[in-house]
Parts: sequence; C-alpha cells; structure tokens
Amino acid sequence: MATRERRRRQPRGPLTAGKFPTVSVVSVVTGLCAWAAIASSGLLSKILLPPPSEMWRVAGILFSQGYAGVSFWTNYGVSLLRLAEGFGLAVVIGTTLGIAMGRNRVISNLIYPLIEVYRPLPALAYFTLLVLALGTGEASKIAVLTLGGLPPVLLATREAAATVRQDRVEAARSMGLSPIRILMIVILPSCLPEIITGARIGFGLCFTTLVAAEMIAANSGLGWMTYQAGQYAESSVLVIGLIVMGFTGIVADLGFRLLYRRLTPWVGKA
Amino acid sequence: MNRKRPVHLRPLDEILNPVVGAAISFSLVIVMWFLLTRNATGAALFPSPEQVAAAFQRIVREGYLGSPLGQSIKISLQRIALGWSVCILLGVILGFAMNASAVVRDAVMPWLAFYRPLPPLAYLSLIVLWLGVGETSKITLLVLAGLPPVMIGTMTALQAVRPERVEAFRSMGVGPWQTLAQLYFPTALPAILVSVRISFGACFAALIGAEMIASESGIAWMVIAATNRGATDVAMVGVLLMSAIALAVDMALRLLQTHLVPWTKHEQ
Repeated sequence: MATRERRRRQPRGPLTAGKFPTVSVVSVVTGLCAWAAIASSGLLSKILLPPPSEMWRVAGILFSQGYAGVSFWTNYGVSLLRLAEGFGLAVVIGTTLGIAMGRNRVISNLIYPLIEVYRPLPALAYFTLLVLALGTGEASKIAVLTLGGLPPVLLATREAAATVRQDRVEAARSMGLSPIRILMIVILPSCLPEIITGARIGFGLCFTTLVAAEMIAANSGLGWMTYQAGQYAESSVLVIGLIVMGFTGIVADLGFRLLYRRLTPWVGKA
Repeated sequence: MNRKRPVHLRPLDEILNPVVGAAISFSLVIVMWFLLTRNATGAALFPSPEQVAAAFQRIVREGYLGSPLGQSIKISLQRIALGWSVCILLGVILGFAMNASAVVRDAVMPWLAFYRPLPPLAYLSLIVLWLGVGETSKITLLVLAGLPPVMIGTMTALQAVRPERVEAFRSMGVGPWQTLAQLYFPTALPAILVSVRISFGACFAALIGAEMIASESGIAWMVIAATNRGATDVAMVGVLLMSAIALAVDMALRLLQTHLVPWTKHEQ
C-alpha cells in the first residue's frame, strides 16, 4: 500500500512540476529567437523554415478564411467531435468492462486474452479492417479511436476494481446496500484515480490515432488539413496545425490533472 | 483471494481458468469470422478465412505488385530495428543527462512537453520536407516517435536512486563510470525496459503510418496498396502479419524483462 501511494505522488510527466524555471524560459526564448533569426536571414528556403512574419500572415488567412475552402474552425471542430465520441466511448466501455473484469474472474478470463493480443497492435494496422467492416464514414473512425484508447482505461480500471478494499465492500453490504449502490458508492469511487490516469494515457493514444486516421482516410479534420498542407509544401499551415495540436494536447493533459485533483482529492493523503 | 461471488458462479470460475477462457474466446472470434463472412452482404468486402489463406499462399509464391513478401517484411523489420535502436540509445543517454544536470532538464522539458503529445504522423510531412522521401526521414520519424517514453522513463527511474547508496559508492572510492554502470544503470534498468516496450509500440505505429502514407515498400505499404486496389484478402494477410510481428516483439520483451530484471513485478 505504501509503495502504491508513493508511486502516485511521483511526477508523471514534464508538466507535472507546474512551474517555469528560468532555464526553461531562456531555452524557449532562445529557441524561438534562433528560429526567427535563421528564418528571416534567408539562408533557408521559406518552405523548410517559414519565418514568423510569414506564419503570422498565413495564420491570419487560415483562421479567417480557412484552408482549401474549408474553415479552419470546422476542421478543428470535426476533429474534436471525433475525439470526444471515440474517447468518450473508450472511457465508458473501458470503465464498464474493467469493473466487470476486476470483480468477476470468469469475465476477466474470457476477455483479458483478447485485450492482451490486440493491445500491442498499432491502431492503423486494424483501421484498414474497420474500414472494410464499417465503411469509410464516421463509424470506422470512431471505432478505431475507441479501440485505440480502450486498453489503458480498461486495464487500469480492472486492476483497481480487483484491489478494492474488501472490508469496505463488506461494510457496505452489511449496511444493506444493494449491489448497484455498492458499485456506485464504493467500487466506482475507489477506482476513480486509476480510471482518470488510464483515461489520460488513453486520450494520448486516441489523439495520435485520430490524426493518423484523418490522414489516411478522411477529407476533413485537423489531420487531413496538415496532411494536405504537407503534400503541397505549405509549411506555414503545417506548422500552425502542429502548434494547434501541441496546445490541444497540453490543454487536455492539464484538464486531466485538474480532474484528478478535483475528483480524487484524497489520493496520497491517506 | 476471499472475494465473495454468487454461489452459482463458483464452479464456473474454477472451470473457466485463464487458459480455458482464452481458448473459448479465441475460438469464438474465429467462428464468428467464419460465420459473418458467410452471409452475402459481408462477403463482398470482408474476406473470409479461406480467401485470406489462399491470398497468403499466393503472395508467398508470387509476392504482391512485384514485391516479394519476404522482401516487404525484411524492409519493415530493418526500418524498425534501426529506428528503434537509435531511439533507445539516444533516449537513455538523454535521460541520464537530464537526471545529471538540472540545467539540461529545465532546458529540454518545455520542448519535450510540447512535442510529446504531437502525433508523429503530423510532423512526418515536415521531416519529409527537410530530409526528403528516402529512408532517412522514416528513421528520423521512428526515433522522434519513440524517444519521449525512453527519455522520461530513464530520467524518472534515475531519480529513484537512493542518495545514501551514491554516498556509499563514493565513500568506497568507486569512480564515476563504475558508479554509473553498477549503481545507476541497474537501478534504472527495470523502468528502462518498460519504457523500451512502450517506445516499441510508438515506433511500430509510426512505421506503419509512414509506410502507408509515404512509402513504396514495406509490409504496411502492401496493406494500403492492396486496400486501395480492393484486394482485401491481401490486406488482411498484411494486417495479420503486422500483428504477428508486434505480438512476437512484445512477448520477446516480456521475456527479456523477466530474465534481466527478475526482481521486479511486471504488471503489464
């Protein structure tokens, strides 16, 4: 138990520190200045390294008029919607199956082998099959996101559900709670920290899968836009797309950390 | 395990142990595949097991679109081997550097925080603009895709090196290189192996994406070429082969974990 608590409190990623040391600020400012200096000096072609002025201009056009006739915000919205649907399904299915598997060994023994076999597969590998089975529409994209994000949520929930403290379950039962109420009041909250952690990892996988799926089989979305821009060597649009993706990732990560702190304030304090 | 279950489930629980469970669910999937591809609507698009077996025999004999199957597999394996090993080497070195120096860590962290959540395929176009369409850009993509987990995994693991052990090594007059090899490296090894497994997943996913989008060779190219030409049976063979590769490597890495670091518990 002690090691468990300690592990949770450890920093999980670059942003966990939540502070900005001077060296980091210097590093970022130096990097950006170097980019501006090299790009404006004309040593490299605008295609290889678009100068900030050029990016600014293109960003203005992109955000107001869109890319290839499609509004940037429509593309971004389409991507976010796919992400929300696919990831949302992954969390719902992962939590449900994870708790079922953690609490019932028959279900676990039946489903776990399937999960373990498909988990190491890159989502793009089975995306082709999903397109064959579900068509080229939204269904196959949502399905690939769900499958891509499912394993971390499911495995984390299963592990947590299997190690819920038995005395708490017994206590709830002795106080006459129905199985449903035990699930909602005891088991689900106990699993919540692991569910959020699993969801955070799953979200990253969904995001990567989304862009890949949009590049290969879509004609809308952020992934499609950056891919098109890359094909026509429009580096400014490409880099702006990357920056938007980067910030989306960072914001989502911050959101998960906030959620973790707000919803499970007891973690690490027991 | 004193978990209480409904009485009627207990005997089933003992009969359905993990091995039997796996056997049942895998046979179920295969039977479903046979049955679902029997009906007329699915058969046109989704290949049946017999079609896939026939396609496998055909491309083993003749290759696909002029590329022998063995050649495609070899090219993909070479790419992943090169990209992945560079990524491990670089990631471990950078992880050590970031643990050793706060300046390096603080300087690298903001960039890492920004680039880590980026989907590798998104910056593939940029790499191609810089390095061309050849092998270099693919290897670079694989390295970049797999680097963050190794870097962060190594660094985090090194933070767990206990200061009193460092003191003990120093007080016994052990040199810095020997301390590195005999204290830091063994302490970090379990976490490095875990992150190496994660990084293989990222590298392999990036490889497949790169081969599908910007390549004329490799196993994933074969899949996308076959899909675009409606040869779904060939695509299915390719998907199964990719799955076999991913599973084989994953299992090999698990074995490596149990052999190299038998003292740690391996959950996943």
